[in-house]
Amino acid sequence: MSSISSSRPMRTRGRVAFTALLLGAPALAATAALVAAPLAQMFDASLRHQDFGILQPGFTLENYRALLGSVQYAELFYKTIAAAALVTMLCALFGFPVALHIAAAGPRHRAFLYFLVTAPLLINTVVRSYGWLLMLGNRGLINTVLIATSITSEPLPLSGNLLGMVIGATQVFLPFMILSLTTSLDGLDSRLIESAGILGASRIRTFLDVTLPLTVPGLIAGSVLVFSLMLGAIVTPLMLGGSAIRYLSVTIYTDAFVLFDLPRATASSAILLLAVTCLYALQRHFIRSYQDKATT
Amino acid sequence: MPGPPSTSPVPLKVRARGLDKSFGSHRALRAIDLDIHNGEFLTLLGPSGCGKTTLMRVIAGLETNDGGTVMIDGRDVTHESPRRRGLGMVFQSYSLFPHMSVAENIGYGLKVAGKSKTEIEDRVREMLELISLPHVADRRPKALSGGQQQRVALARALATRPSLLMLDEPLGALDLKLRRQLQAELKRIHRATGMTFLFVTHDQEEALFLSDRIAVMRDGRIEQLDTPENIYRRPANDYVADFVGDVTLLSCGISGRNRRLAVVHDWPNAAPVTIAHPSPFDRFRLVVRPEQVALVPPDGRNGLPANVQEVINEGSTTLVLLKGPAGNQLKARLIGRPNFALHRGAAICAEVRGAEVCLPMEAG
Ligand SMILES: Nc1ncnc2c1ncn2[C@@H]1O[C@H](COP(=O)(O)OP(=O)(O)O)[C@@H](O)[C@H]1O
Ligand SMILES: [Mg+2]
Repeated sequence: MSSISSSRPMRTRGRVAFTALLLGAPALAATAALVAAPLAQMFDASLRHQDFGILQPGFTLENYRALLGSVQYAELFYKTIAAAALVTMLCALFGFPVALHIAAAGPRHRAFLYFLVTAPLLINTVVRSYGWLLMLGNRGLINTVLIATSITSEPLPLSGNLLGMVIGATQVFLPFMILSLTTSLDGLDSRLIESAGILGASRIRTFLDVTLPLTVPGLIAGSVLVFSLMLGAIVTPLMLGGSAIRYLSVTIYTDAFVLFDLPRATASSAILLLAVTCLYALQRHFIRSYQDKATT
Repeated sequence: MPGPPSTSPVPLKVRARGLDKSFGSHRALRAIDLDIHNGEFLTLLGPSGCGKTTLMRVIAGLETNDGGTVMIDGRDVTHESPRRRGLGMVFQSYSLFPHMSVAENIGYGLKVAGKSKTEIEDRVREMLELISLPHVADRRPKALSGGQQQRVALARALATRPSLLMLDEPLGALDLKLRRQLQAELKRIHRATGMTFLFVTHDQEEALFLSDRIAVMRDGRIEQLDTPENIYRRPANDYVADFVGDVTLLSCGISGRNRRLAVVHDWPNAAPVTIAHPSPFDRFRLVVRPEQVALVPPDGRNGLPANVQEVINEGSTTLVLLKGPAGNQLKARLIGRPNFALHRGAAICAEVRGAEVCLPMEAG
């Protein structure tokens, strides 16, 4: 009697899992093929020589050697990382107050705020970046106003450079940071905040001592998300930074579609992919050890 | 032991007047008046949802009241933030900071107040001794048992020497044995520190054991505020009588020249019951506690004739459920075992001794 009732849920669970696997198998296979095939092609191209735009047979590490041995490339890589890090930090800086506000809001107000945060995601990045161009361009809203009011005589260089890209990208990726932080804040016991307050901590002190340390996992998850999205972003950097900007994804784009140097473009991509993968693994490790520390 | 009377020059620890609080259309507090004396252990007692937590949170400033005022030590704090009210708080869920060690938790309030490192260390050590956990300073809260965590939460709240300590069902998540142990410890700490304690529980035994005074609450109101003894022996109404301890209400009419004989209605062959004080009512309900019922062998002259329905062994006491000839119920609690046969169906005589509270008929 008892053995039947106790073994049944186990067997049922096993069967459910198996059925789920069976149902999911075609989609799983398709996804694997669609991810694996282009990746394989990319690695393949990055290991070849190219003559007159045609990939030659035989593998070589020359493409990687050329990139990793180049000072210019190192600088490009460093600048790219720095720009992406800057965007990530700005997202965290602007995202935290918004996330705190959402987490503290009542259910109705909250739904509305969620809508406000996620609505931009429904609009194509090209359109959003173009919107920023209308604001930041030489004849954009800001410069027009500045010149009309004689604050400046020449338009300020707000786009077609790093500044434009950072401003645009921060707005584009902010929702991901906000959603990640909100999720983390929701898991925070409000009694902890109240306890800190009763013990005499001001709001800022409570934020620094309690809220921030306990939402570090969400902050890291959001940061890694924004950072890797930014590393891979092409539309916003190209439109607001311009093709002359020193940014890796833009360079890869130029290599592939302007210079038709496929081996160099794919080798750069492979290095970028490796960097992001390492970062992701590091994040998982860090979050897990952080949670272990907090809960044992 | 109640604190000094309100005419005393020493200001009340807490003086709340006309506190109102609604959540949507639900009125959680209805015009609550509450005085808490300096140094007393006051308990808010009532069923879940009656507004105990809300009242405590309004006094602490964690919830803003819709109406009324809160004064602490004679100062109006109605519009002050919790951190300026000089309180300590212990939640049922412990609410220790999981990313800090036990010592950092206990010292947090002092650190925020800008105390020196050595002062904090000394105080933390003192607090750890007070809660009898001197060896856990460097551990994380989650590495401790529930009872230990709650002691640490208590130490954290006490460390800043708040003038008023609030405890919201702090023992609710612990098993019975641990609860008893911590109740005794709380009582000891209350005595040792001389602080004012505002305690919340829905467990009437806990309230009776711990408190100097108990406020029995229902639906956002305080039904009675009195010493445990008076709450138990002289409940103000049916609700309090019923909530605090076992009780039977017997419908009675008055008789006798000094109005101290109660004739039990609808109980055939019942002898009149002698009551402690003259009854102010002609028809009333007599509050009878199980301890006030003695069982004697049936002789047809004394007490209320009844049959034993159930004999429940409670360890050191025995609870006997009785049924009168017309179906009336009565409970008797005996210490030890009676020297006569007590089994289901046995005919017995119940004598009510020392009943003193008469409630009016129409109260509900
Ligand atoms: N934040 C809140 N929002 C809505 N209703 C609440 C809130 N807090 C308490 N209540 C309601 O107020 C009533 C009293 O709650 P509470 O003070 O927690 O009772 P108790 O502590 O006596 O169990 C309950 O009906 C509860 O549902
Ligand atoms: Mg409660």
